[in-house]
Amino acid sequence: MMLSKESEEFIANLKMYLMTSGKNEKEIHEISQELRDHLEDAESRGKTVDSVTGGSPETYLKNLSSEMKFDVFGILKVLPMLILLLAAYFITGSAIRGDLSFSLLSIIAYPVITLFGVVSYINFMRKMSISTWSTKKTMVILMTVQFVISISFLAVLFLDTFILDPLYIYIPSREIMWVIAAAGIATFIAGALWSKSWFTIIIPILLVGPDFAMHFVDVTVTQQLIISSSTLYIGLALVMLFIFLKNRKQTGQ
Amino acid sequence: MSSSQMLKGILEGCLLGIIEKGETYGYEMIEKLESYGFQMISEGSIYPVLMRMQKEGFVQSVLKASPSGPKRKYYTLTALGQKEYEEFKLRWNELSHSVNRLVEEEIE
Repeated sequence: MMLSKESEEFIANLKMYLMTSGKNEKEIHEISQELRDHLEDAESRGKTVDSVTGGSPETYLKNLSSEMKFDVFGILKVLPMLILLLAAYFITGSAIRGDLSFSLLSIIAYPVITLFGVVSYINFMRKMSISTWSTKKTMVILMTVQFVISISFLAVLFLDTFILDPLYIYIPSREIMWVIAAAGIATFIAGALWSKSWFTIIIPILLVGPDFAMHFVDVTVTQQLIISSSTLYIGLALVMLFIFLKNRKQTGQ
Repeated sequence: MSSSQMLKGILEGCLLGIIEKGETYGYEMIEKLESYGFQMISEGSIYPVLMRMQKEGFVQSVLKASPSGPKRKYYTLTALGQKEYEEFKLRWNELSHSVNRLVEEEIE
């Protein structure tokens, strides 16, 4: 049976809220299945999603969340893979381009900003899932978060390049860089198998694929920049479109 | 004890009573509660209570295929839940007796 748009939205928000609150995946699946079942019965009798939430999804989800424990083991299980993947995102591209050298500043600052970024996004999604923000407000908050993160990265890059004498840690030979790049690629593949999704393969391909390909063709630096950035943006747009179409198909069933 | 905690305690006792009458699932519990005259309960509020009751070992659940499609979660009472229900009945009798006495005296 098909649920109303409001109910589907409520279930999606419920999953998002509980996941970003660090609850157990299996328990989340169980309760969302149970509430879906309930909503089907309720809607077939002419009731709305308000009959479940009592009119306030926020209060209801907080109440539900307080009965579910924080899944420490679940998080400990994903953490190593996540750290490996993030490290691979940072290193693989540089290794392929052949400029694998990091200053002391960037080795400390990039992971800190990344951690801050990940925590901010999770927090944003958590707040968004129970809020009644307008689309405009949601976009403004998201863009502010993205702006702060990008500015922080740029600030480090700027400091690194112009102000501080980069304290280069270690510049490996070209052969070692290929080994590092291969290890990074292996991590992406392992990440895809582990998460059962293509994202950890598609996104790195878009990020480093053009650089890799241009190793073998003769192009100017400008052409290279244009090709790699347009591949990235067009690719990301295609991924978004794919997700959008897939979602629409699912809710349309 | 705050008033919402007291209501939760009462809802828990009522759910124990409903489940004691036989294996049942969420929406059916609401219908059964309604047949006893409960109207003020927001339907969703039973699920956090069911979660807690399951954690405390008062109820157990199984997933079974339902006619409408997705699997449905059916609850039954455990021995511990049975015991808890008996205790709830005693507590409730005492409480309702006292409240009734107080309220009726006020009316007179």
